[in-house]
Amino acid sequence: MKDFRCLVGVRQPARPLAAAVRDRIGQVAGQLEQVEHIVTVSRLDRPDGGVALVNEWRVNPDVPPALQHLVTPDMLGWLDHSEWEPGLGACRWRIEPFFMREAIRCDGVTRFEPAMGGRGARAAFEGRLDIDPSALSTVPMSWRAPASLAVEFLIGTLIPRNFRKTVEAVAGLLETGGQPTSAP
Amino acid sequence: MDPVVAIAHAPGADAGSLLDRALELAGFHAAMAERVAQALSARGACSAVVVPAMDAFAADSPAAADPALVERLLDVLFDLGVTDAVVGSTRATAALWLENRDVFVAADLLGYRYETPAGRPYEVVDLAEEVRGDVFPAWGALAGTPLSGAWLDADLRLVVAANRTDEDDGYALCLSTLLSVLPLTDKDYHYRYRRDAGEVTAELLAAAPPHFAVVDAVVSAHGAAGGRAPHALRTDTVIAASDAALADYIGALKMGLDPFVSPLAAPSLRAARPAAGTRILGPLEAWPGWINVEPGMLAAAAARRGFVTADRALRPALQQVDRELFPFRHPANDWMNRTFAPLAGAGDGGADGARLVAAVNLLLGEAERAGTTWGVLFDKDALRRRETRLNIDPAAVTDAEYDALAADLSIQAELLRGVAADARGLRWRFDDGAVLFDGARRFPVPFDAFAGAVPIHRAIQFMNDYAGGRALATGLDAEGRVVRQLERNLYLPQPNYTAVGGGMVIDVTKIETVEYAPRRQRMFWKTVKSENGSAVVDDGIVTFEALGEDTLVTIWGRQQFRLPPLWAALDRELAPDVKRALVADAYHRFLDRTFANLEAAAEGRDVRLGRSWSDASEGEPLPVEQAAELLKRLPSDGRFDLAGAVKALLRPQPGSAPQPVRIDADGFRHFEAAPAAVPSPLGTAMSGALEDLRHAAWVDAGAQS
Repeated sequence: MKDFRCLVGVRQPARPLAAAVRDRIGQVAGQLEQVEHIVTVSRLDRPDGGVALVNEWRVNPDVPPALQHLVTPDMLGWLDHSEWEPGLGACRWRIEPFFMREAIRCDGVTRFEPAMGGRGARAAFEGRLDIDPSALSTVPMSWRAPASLAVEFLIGTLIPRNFRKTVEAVAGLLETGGQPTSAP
Repeated sequence: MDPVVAIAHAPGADAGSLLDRALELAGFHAAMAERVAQALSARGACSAVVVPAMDAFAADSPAAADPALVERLLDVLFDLGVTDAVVGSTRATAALWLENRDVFVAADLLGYRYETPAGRPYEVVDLAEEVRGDVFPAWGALAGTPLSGAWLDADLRLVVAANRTDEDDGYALCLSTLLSVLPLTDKDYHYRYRRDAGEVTAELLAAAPPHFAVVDAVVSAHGAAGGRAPHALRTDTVIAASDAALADYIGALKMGLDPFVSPLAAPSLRAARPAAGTRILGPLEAWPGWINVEPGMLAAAAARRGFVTADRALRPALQQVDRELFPFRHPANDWMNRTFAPLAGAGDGGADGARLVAAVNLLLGEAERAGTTWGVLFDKDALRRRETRLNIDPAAVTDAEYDALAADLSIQAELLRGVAADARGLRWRFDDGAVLFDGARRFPVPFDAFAGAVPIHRAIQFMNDYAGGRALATGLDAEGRVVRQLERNLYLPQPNYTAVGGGMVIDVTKIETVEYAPRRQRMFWKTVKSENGSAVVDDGIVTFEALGEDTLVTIWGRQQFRLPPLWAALDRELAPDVKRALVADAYHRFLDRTFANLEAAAEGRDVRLGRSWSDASEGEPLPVEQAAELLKRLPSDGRFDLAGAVKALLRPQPGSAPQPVRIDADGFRHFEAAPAAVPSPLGTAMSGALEDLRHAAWVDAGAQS
């Protein structure tokens, strides 16, 4: 099991920032490292103001040549299931990867807090990665170590790093005049 | 007001009351009220910029000024009538390897609340966002670099330092904090490696000094590892001073240090040394229990700083960081930091780790020295160019000194009359320990074309082994040509082989005049200073004159350079004939290569040796990024050219001068017309080694083909 955490500070107030992360994330996919696209698969607006979202992420990381026959392009992505609080202070999320789906459990919470005297925000991203060793047994013995390393890299590094870049890109979007499509 | 420094000390007192006491003792209110009143009456507004020490990597770190104390100071300013008080800083080198180091975010994470205790909102500003050029003198170390407009324009400029030891400078107080107003991001690269930190600080102080300085010594950061692994020590003191250098002087005394131990502070301290009229109020006893960085460790850190690539690679690995707040940008730095930072900060006060780091630093320093020696002898284009300031005051050079130059030197040039030229056209003889010499070369280029392509006032910069310097034109004729000039030149050690035994860079500052006639131009120079004592005399004349359809260039000089002890001892034992042969050989090389450079300059080719520094705010790519790029290029067959990779990491970056494939008898560098085909890894390593040896042989052979 691996815990990961990422704290990002930006010069945009917390609520507009959170709203933009929730509603406009697809617009910044092109600015993110090794991300092809982010598409909202489903959205459910709850009566209390909360939102349940499923976004599909497609990524194109540099897979080592030795693993390329094991990790095919259709595996490179995940579904991001998220449940946003009505006040936009936090969202709980769960990642459902296309690669070794049954072996990987990854979930966490993202919090948006006011900072810089209300002029900015801190976005804290915390998650946990759990890989089921028994599921890994389907992988040939000689490839288990590199496969687990690849999984750890993809999920333990790529996702938090992309979270940072996502928040910074969304803040940039707001700074250049863009407004969230759905006000909180 | 007379210079004043106040030390407010009260065990157990809170930071706010200590600040109030120090400001009161130092006469802060009276001094600042006058400035505030002037600004209010002139503009109806008064601005203040407070620059606090934010060079910390954890919340509540004693290596940073306490945000609560800074916010209290803002309230004092507002109470005085300041209408706009802000906290200002810039991103520093750590922003290149850590996340969340933007000024606004870092301020927030370090505890700034953007609101004073009295409820007044204030802004944190990035002083790199609006900058001005042409602030620093053209002859100075900071010539051509920008400075924050907000800092320049502020009616009140204040600096608030933390009270901490420092591995580079012994201590880091107000003057060190002041570098935060300089806008280029990689502070280490631009203001420490590329330029002399002491010169930078002195010029910054001269251009836009703070009006008051405060040292937050309520909880201090001491220890043998400095800010790399700060150890908190309650010292219950605030120091306030009318002058940042004076605050540093007293702060260093309180640490039990010679204030001049800091190369960053020393030049500024000499100008602000306590003198008649200076008031020092409060106790000067050293802090009990204080641990400093040991002198040997300071020397070792200085040795490592000379190895720029290694220094930039190691700093992220050694710094203690709260990675929750400031995560590493690159996984490799994250891994190295997890592995090495705890070791490097181990022991009581960080002493054990500091000794380990010092040992590594010394090894790296020796490696750098060896690499530099190799570069001087065999691979000059691998050396970094030198940048420096003019180290004499242009206003102090009189007309009489310029006017006397041509006559003084012309008569000395006559002293070679009657000396027969040798087979290669060199005339020379000894003169009171110096060497008088001259030589000429005829270039098949019309005079006007030659003189147009080679501005004679730059002739010295085309001479053999010119490694960098600074020139300032101090007089122009009606046609805008330079007729008077001051110039500081740095040359590689002469003769080059003295680099093996500690030969110094030749550092000479000269007064120069230039005469222009229709068919002749002459430049005269006389050395007036050698900062490092490397030269006793280095005077000369260069003449361009028309000779039919050609141009004749004549160089006359009188030179005496100091030899390092090893070579001086050998020199004394040399048989006269051997010595004469060595001198003649040295001047043959000098003239051959200088004439080759002049011909190249006439053809529009760049003859400068060495690699240039990056002007990018972020400096060069970090070593970890360069290493990552190399790894990406790993061949898929798994073979790895370690020698080639290391060489690529230490060698010039893309965009710097290409490497010559050979240098001919006249010193011309020959280049490949197109990139060579990609060789095998083994081939690269072997051919690299062979090329080095071949290059070494060519260079060592000098003019011999």
